[in-house]
Amino acid sequence: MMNELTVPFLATPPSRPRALPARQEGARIVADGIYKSYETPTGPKHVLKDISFAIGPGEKMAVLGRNGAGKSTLVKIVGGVERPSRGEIRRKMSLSWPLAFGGGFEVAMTGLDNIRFIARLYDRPIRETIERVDDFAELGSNLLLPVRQYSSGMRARLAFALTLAIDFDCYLIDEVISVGDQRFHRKCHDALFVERKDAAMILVSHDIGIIREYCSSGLVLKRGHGRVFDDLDLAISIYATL
Amino acid sequence: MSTRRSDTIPLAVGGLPSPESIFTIHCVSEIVRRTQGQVNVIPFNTGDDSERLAEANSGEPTIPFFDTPDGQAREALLATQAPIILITGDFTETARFCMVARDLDALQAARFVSQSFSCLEPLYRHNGVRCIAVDRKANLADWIDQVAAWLGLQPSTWQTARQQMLSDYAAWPTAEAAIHALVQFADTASADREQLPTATLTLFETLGQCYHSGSIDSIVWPADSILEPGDPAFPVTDAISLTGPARMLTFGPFLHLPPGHWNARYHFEVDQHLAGNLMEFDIVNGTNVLVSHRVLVEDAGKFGFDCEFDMQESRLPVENRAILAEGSIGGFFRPAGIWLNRDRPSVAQGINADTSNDQ
Repeated sequence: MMNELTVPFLATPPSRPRALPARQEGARIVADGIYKSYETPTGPKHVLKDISFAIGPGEKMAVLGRNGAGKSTLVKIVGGVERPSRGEIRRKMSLSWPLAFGGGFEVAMTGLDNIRFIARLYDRPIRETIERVDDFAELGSNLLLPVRQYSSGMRARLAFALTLAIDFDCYLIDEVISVGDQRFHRKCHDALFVERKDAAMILVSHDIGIIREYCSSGLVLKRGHGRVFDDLDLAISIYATL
Repeated sequence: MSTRRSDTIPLAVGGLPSPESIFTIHCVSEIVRRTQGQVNVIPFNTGDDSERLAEANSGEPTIPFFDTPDGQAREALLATQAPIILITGDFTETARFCMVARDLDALQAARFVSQSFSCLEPLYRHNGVRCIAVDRKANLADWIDQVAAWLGLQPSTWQTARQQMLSDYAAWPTAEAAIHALVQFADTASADREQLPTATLTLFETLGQCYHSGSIDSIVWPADSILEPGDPAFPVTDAISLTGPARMLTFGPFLHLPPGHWNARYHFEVDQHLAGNLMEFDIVNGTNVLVSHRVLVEDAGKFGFDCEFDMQESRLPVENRAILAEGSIGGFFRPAGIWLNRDRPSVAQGINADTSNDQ
C-alpha cells in the first residue's frame, strides 16, 4: 500500500482529556500520561500508551476494552500495585486496592491475622473490621486457616470483604462481579452500588448492564491507547465493535 | 436469441440520452413513416427487449433505439445485421440536459449518463458501428438528407415525401433550431448553464474528461461523487470523524464502468487516529461484492488502496465502500477520489467518429 507521510491535514490538535495541574485537582484521582511496557524475548511490549484521565468524588468511570487491552494493568497501576514505565498517578482521595485482587496477603498468616494487619494499616477498629469482614465474606472458620490454603474464590471474597470494610473514597473494581455464587454476587452488588453509591469508582467489567446503570463515563482502551468518553452510550458502542 | 430479419429493421439508432439522440430518432422515424407508411420504434436495451422484437408482427418496419444496452442487447443488435448508428455527445451537456428533462440532481444525472456511456462503449469500439456527432449548426435539409442516406434513400428516391417533410420543417433552418423546437427541455438545458453550482460543473467536467466517444480506459471519480451515510445520504464535503462503532464510512458513487478488467486505487487521508483503525474496502457491482479487502491503517497520512476486478454488467452501478471494521476512539478520514484504469480490451478497435457532413 502506497504511503506518503504528510503534514496532518487538520490543524486542530486531538481532543482528549488532559490532567489538570496538581494545584487545581482537588480531591481527585489523576492519571497523567501513563505508559507501561514490558520486556519480552521478542522486544518491548507496549501495553499502555499515554493514558490520561481524572476522576472526582462520586464519579464512576468504566474501563472498556478487549481482552488483553491493558485494563487490569491500568487498574493495578492506578492502585499502586504496579509502577508505570512513564507518567504518574496523583491520588488526592483514598483509593482501594483493586477489588478481587488476591495479591497483597501474607499467605503464611491466617485470614484473621490478615484482617488485623489491614485494620491496623488503615487505622480501623480491629474488632469491628473483623466482624464486618466475617459477615460479608462468609468464610466462617476458614478465617483461622492460613491464606495459602484458600481457594482463589475464597481469597477473592476475603479481599473483597476487606476492601469494603475500609471505607474508601474511590474503589477500583476489576471484574469483581464474577466472584462467588449468585447470592454473593447480589451482596457485592448491593455493597458497592447501593450502600456506597456516593463513592467514586473505576470499574472494569464486561457487564454492560452494570456499566449503564452506575457509570457516567467510559475509558475505552484500544491497542494501548485510551480515550475517555462522557457519552457512555458512545463508549459502549465503540467497545461493542472492537 | 432470435431476432427479426434485417429487412424489417432498416436502421438501429442509439446514443447518449441527449437532445441530439432524441432528435435523430425522431428524424429516422419520420422518414420511415413518410416513405413506408408506418414505423414501429422500440426501446432495445435488454435481452427482454430483443425477445419482444422477435415476437412482434413481421413486415412492419421497426427502429430499435438504445441508450443503455446490456451485453445481450448489444449482441442481438449486431446479430440483426442492420446498420447501426451511434450518436456521440458531450458528457457535460448530456448530464445537464438529463437534470432538466428528468428532474435529476447532479449526481443522479452523472450516474445516468455514465451508465449510458459504459453500456455504449463496446459499440463505440466496434468496427460495424458508425459513430456520428450531430453538427447543430448544419442546415436542416442537409441533416435530413444525411439521415435518409443511412436508410439507403437518395433525395431522388423519396422526392415527394422529402419535399413535404422539408415544407413541414421549414420554420427551422438548422438542426439546432429543430432540436430546440422538437425536443422538450433542449432549450431550457442550455439556458440553465450559468445556474449550476460550481461543484456540479466541476464534477461534470471531471467525469467528462474521462467519458468520451473513444475507448474509456482511465476514469477518475472525484471526492465529491462519494457519499456519506445519512438520511438522505450526502456527498463528502469534509473530513469524517472516525470516533464511534464499526460502520460504513463512505459509499457510492454508483457510477458505471464499461466491461473489462479494471484496476482501482482508492485515495484517502487519515489523521489523528490514536490507535490505528482496521478498515475494509469493497467494490460492489449491483449487489455483487467483486472485491473485499481489510487493511490496518496505523499511521496518519495519505494512502492509496489498490484492488482489481472484472466488470461484466455495465448496466449495474459500481459502488466503492469504505468501512470502519472496528470501533474507533479517534481519528479523521477523508476520501480523495477513486482512480480507475482498465486493461486494454481485446475487442477489435475502431472508432469511426463522423460529422453530419460526411456522406
